[in-house]
Amino acid sequence: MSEALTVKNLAKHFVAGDRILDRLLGKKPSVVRAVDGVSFGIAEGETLGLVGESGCGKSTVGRSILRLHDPTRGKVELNGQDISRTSRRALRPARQYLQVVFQDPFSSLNPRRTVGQSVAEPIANYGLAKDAELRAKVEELFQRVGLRADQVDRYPHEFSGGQRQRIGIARALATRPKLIVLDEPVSALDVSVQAQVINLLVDLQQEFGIAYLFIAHDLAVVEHISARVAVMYLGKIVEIADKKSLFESPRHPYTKALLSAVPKADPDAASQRIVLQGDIPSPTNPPSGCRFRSRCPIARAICASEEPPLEIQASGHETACHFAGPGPLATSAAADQIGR
Amino acid sequence: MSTKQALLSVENLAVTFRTDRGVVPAVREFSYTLDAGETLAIVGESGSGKSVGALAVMRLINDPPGRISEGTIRFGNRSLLSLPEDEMQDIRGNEIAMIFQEPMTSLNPVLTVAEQIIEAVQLHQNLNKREARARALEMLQLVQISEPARRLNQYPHELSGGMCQRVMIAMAMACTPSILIADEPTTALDVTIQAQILDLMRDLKGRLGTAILLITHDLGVVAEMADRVVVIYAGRKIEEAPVRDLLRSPRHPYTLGLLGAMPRLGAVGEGQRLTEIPGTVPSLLEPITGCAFAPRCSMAIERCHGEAPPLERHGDAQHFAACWRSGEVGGDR
Amino acid sequence: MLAVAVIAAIAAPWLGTVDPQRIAPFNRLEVPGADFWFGGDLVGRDVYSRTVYGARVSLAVGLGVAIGGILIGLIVGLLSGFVRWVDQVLMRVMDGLMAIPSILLAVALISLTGASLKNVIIAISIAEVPRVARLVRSVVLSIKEQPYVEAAVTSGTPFALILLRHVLPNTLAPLLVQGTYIFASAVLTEAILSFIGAGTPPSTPSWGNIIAEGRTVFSIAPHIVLFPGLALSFTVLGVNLLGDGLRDIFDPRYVSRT
Repeated sequence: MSEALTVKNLAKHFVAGDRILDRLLGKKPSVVRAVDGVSFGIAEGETLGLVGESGCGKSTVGRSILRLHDPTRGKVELNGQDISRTSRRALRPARQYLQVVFQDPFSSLNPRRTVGQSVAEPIANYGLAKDAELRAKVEELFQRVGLRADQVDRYPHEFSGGQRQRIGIARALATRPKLIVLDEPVSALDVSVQAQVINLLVDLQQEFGIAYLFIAHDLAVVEHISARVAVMYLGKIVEIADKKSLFESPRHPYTKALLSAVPKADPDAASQRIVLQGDIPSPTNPPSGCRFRSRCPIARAICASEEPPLEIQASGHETACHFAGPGPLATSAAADQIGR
Repeated sequence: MSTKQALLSVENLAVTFRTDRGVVPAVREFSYTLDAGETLAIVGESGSGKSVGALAVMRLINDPPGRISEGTIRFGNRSLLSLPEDEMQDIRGNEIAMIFQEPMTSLNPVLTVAEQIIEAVQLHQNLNKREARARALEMLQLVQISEPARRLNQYPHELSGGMCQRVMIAMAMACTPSILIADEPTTALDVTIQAQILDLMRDLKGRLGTAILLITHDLGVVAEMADRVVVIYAGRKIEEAPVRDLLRSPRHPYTLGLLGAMPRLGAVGEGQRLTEIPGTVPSLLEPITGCAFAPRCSMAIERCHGEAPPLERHGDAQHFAACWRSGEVGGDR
Repeated sequence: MLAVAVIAAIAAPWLGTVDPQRIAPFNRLEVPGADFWFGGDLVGRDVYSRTVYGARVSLAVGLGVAIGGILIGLIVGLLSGFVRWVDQVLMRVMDGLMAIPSILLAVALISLTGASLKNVIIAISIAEVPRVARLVRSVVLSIKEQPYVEAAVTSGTPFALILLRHVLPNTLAPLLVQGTYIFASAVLTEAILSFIGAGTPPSTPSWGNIIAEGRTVFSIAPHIVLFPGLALSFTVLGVNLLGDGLRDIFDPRYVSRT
């Protein structure tokens, strides 16, 4: 199966506070290494979940792939075509196959245009249909996402958050893309609505064979919808594996801590969890060597001097840690309740 | 139910809000009790009225446009709703304290951490500047913030979200209140930070014996923190039970739906669908006849649309549900 | 209040255009009485007709500056919002312009180009451009980041269409409101310029120079100052109220009342 998306060594650095005056004074602007060498692939029709906490760079990865930011380094290939370095003009035809669904259902639709117009926009851009045929296509899309054809001429503020998100999905679907980047698509929705949208996404994937890059911070949601999962911390992938492998036998200490931190809906689950000390370091000044070492319960001297590379530990399972290994974290007498 | 008097008792609370489009009954016939040292969680989705139900206790509902139109709130043997404002101020921050959802914006950005905690302390206790500052440091140590002495002189924008929330907790606990109201305290925080804060709250509760009124939409947090749970939908309480009973055998279709809609770690089989609750929460502008959940309920019968079911007890446990068919709901998960 | 504003705003143009032919009773001898509706001025001209005529000047200036200022400000703002380095340069220029009090700026420009209606309009416009540019720029910057614009970009919408469909409509409302304020401000500025003699040439009546002439005889013939003064006040007030009203209407909270 060919890959829908291949990402190699993607990096995106932001320069903060670059002012002419500062340059004259010889002050170096600070660099935020939001994404610092990330590689992965997504097979056709598959979902890769990308998880991590604030500042890990997962949204930036998504936006760099979409070319909303220009990558600082690295290569992004969509269906074999390099889209990371092409000019905007050359990018246009490729964009037809690469779409996005954003987190905030309220600001992802232009409040002054009807929802029908918003959904029609991508179709019209590529000349895929016109006038009556265009309208028919839009109505069809609406029905496919669980809305009614007669709602096409309404304005965004007339819909609820969940419905707006469906409209966003309809828009993403409009040009039959090969890959959709979903940036926290259900985080802003209530639990009951969230379930509706997740089920819809799963159905659509099965029907149309679209690959998803599902960016989220909610591990349970990611586990439900993804086939493979990558965990990011401070701009790097620390672990990537297929779902079962990652959730049942995680190997990286951060992944273990993350999984144990999720509140379980079972009051009797042993509340012994790995509580990480300290706060997430700033991306302008990441710790030397392994970026996780400042909060890692099993860090040793080598972790500060040498950055662990992402290595294959088991079939399809890669981890970046000097001391990675399955099984509970060798900390206190904690018995992890990870997976069943 | 123990015969000793509950620490906090809210009876038949009704809160309305006046909007351009009419009067909204945010909360109706809402009653709950909180015993000393226990944690009660009020669970609901957005717009359910859960925050309102707790803000009313602190009398923090702005009038206008809101109004507590009915009900009594008893704290110990005082009736909070009939207290004059200055006595209420004595209670706020002192005997009943509150922490909020967005820690970064709930702190005053132009005051240092020390100044804010000292303000809370000096308002209610007779300490001089030096003593108050010592107490502030003590509180920061209590909440296990890193480098507490250094934090005293820092401003909120220099702190991370987790640290800000610790400061808020420090401020809230500075006068050792008997009740801590926590309105979605960890919703805006990352998962690992959330774990730290929840641990801290449990630890403090154990040490100081504070009762916690926890408002949240996250059933996972409920499972971890709560002793008892109240589920609120469209402004009305629809289920109440000890936490295990609620999670293992819910007696209301909405609770059952919520539990099924939540994806859970490790619980996924291949191609399993999440339970959907179709439709959306009803608008509170129109009067609701019958059960508010009926239009979305897979178990609804004729009677549900016409008559609103009262809250009824089930079995001999402290488990109450407002559903005509609660006996047939779910079973064990 | 809005009704008053609208009436005031509409009434002024009426008064201005309905009586353009009242030039006739221009040169008469001094008659400070109620023969003429507003009295007569120092050289016997009918204050009423001069006031009315002056309205035309004021309104021309107001409109001219509003339109000119907005058009130029719009372009500057758009450029600044979208092109990083242009932004740095242009904004410093705008800062420079804003640092000079607008009256002084206008006076300086007019002294360079000579006093005429056209030059007055141009001079005052230049003074108003920075504010508009800032406004447009801030709208552009905030809209640029909005997810729906990003979605349009990923959908392959060409830049020009993005400008047209997403950015411009959002600038329309604040610009309209700002336009009314600029109108009022320009009318006032023109009056001040004429008052100090740096604006409309004295032969053409403008509220400013009518008041200037009447200043010297204020104690015996207050009507010369009074009527144009009142007209000025009402016009400015009316237009400001109109602006406030428009601003409320465009407030998104009102939009949701459909």
